[in-house]
Amino acid sequence: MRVAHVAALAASLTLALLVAMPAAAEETASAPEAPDSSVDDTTAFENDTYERGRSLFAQCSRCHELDPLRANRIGPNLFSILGRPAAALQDFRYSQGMRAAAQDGLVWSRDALDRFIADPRSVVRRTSMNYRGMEDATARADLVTFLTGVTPGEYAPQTPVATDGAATEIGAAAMALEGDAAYGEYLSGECVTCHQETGANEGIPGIVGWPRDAFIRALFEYKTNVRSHQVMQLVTSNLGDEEIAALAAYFEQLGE
Amino acid sequence: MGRLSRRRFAQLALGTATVTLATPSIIRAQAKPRVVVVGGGAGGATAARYIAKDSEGAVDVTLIEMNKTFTTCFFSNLYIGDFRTFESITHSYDQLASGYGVTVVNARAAAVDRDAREVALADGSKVPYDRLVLSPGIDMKYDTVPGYSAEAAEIAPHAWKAGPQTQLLKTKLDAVEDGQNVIMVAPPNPYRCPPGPYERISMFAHVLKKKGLTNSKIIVLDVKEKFSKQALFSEGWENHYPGMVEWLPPSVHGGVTGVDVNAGTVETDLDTFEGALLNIVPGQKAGAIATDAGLANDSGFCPIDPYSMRAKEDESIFVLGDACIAGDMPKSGFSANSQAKVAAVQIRGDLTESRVFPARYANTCWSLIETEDGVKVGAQYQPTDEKIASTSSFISQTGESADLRKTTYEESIGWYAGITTDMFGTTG
Repeated sequence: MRVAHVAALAASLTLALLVAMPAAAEETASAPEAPDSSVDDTTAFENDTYERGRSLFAQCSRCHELDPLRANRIGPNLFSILGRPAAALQDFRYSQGMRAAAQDGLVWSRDALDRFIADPRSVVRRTSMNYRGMEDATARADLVTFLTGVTPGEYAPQTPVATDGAATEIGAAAMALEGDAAYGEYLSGECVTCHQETGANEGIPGIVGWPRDAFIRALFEYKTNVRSHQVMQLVTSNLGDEEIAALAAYFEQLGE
Repeated sequence: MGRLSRRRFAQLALGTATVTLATPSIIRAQAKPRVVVVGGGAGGATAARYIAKDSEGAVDVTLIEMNKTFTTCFFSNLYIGDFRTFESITHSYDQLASGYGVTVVNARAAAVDRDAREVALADGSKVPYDRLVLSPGIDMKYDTVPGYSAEAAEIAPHAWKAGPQTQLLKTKLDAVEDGQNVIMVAPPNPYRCPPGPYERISMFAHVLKKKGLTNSKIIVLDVKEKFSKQALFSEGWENHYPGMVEWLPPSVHGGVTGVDVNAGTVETDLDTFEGALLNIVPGQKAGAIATDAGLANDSGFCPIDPYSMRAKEDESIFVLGDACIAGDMPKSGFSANSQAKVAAVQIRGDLTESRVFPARYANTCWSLIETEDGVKVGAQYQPTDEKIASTSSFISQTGESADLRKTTYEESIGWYAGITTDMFGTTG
């Protein structure tokens, strides 16, 4: 048990640099002395791995909530994921790929989570999750530790706000519009040349069935260069509030 | 609002025929309104699918296409470079027929009778239409390269229409031995797929390098002084294929004066170049059916109304893709697919009472330089009274990280799956 911990700690040195957490970086200096461990050291280590997992989760939190009181976003709420069968949330629209995996009996064990985070498409071939995968095994272990250990009310991610310092959320004006889904369907012609109408992800993420506000927020993040992607920045530069609201209405409806 | 009123004005200015047909009482007088689409590529297949899908059976759609399956010209360079199989770039029309109710006619459309509103097939039968979509692609202007011809292309392929020509080029490339050269004569503007010749050169180099043919060269005799994504390709060739690609503009070679495909030589003012493989890409014009219908101007391509994609010469005909003059838009599959959606909305508006939205156009072109080294260029367009005009654009930068280039390549694969699904209704 202890040996495994030491190996994991050594491997995590790289990670500490990656996530650039000052606290973790300081930890690396004392790492070689770790073998002389006591129960307290082990506890300290477990706290570290949990905290590293928390900072790694920041990238997941763009799409996933991790609190029982929060709604699903682009991805399903991940609170209490451990031991849950795949595609189990009643109020989330899963991809066909995820539903097929559930039929094949996929259950989110620690091991399944680890493999999915490592390479999502090797576990669920046609998942609509747009994530390339996490190579570092220690980082994955940290993330899974956090994911499966988080308690209600503990994780409250910040909502992105406009960079000009305004207190309103990005895209608030578009979110206030109803959104003309028929206009959105016409405008979607430009999207579906790359983003498939079926929601399939074969190198370009699916955008079908996104919650309206998340969709609007994402497009405004491209429009205001919070997110960077040449094609998406170009496309959104030509979309006003009305167009974005229309697209959001259409793609949300398409997922129903 | 301004854009909308301009579009309405353009529609009114098109004359009475449009108005007459759009009158609901006339539509009810005949059976279903009929749309005929000639050419099942990125323009035609997309238009057929969108009109059939969105009219939900209210419009009768017939697609006339000579070939039983369609091999995409886009990504055909990746087949040449061994990144794709020929099968993976070849698609069936089955889903358009069974899933969307499009009548697919496997025949050559021989002529358009604009007065009778009929398309004549090669066997003499006639297909009547209320609205016609012409998306015939390109024909070669063989005489832009002295000594080149349709017959000569069986020895020295142009491979600028995907199909047997592409396979012939691949066979000949794979037969090149160490020390033998490959010669490409690159086409004059305007032509299908502006970065295409240079992506193809990259794929030639990739195959030769992989086989260790270090004494072979690719000599490009261009008729242009500059080309699409030039900085990106030049950088890529220097990085991946040092010394293998010699690109010569006319200011260096003085002009291509003759090709002898049997001898395997291309003559220029500067020198005579010899190659085991000659890839001659001549000048291009709109597919013959559009020209014969009197829809093209002196440039060999068909002027269209930028607000609707209607042929300038005939308001009941829409010309899409490589055959039309699309202003600032390049001749690309992406462009044709984008134009098709504008035409589809106009046609449904003409024939049913569906809403007509203002035209919007977009294009992105990805090119592969070497394994996982992808680049792209893209733009947004809007119609003006003069032309379809570019409003904003981007291009990949030189010196980008390998990670970004890999992402760009992966994105291009996603786009291919996306656009072919959008054209044919399925990826198969």
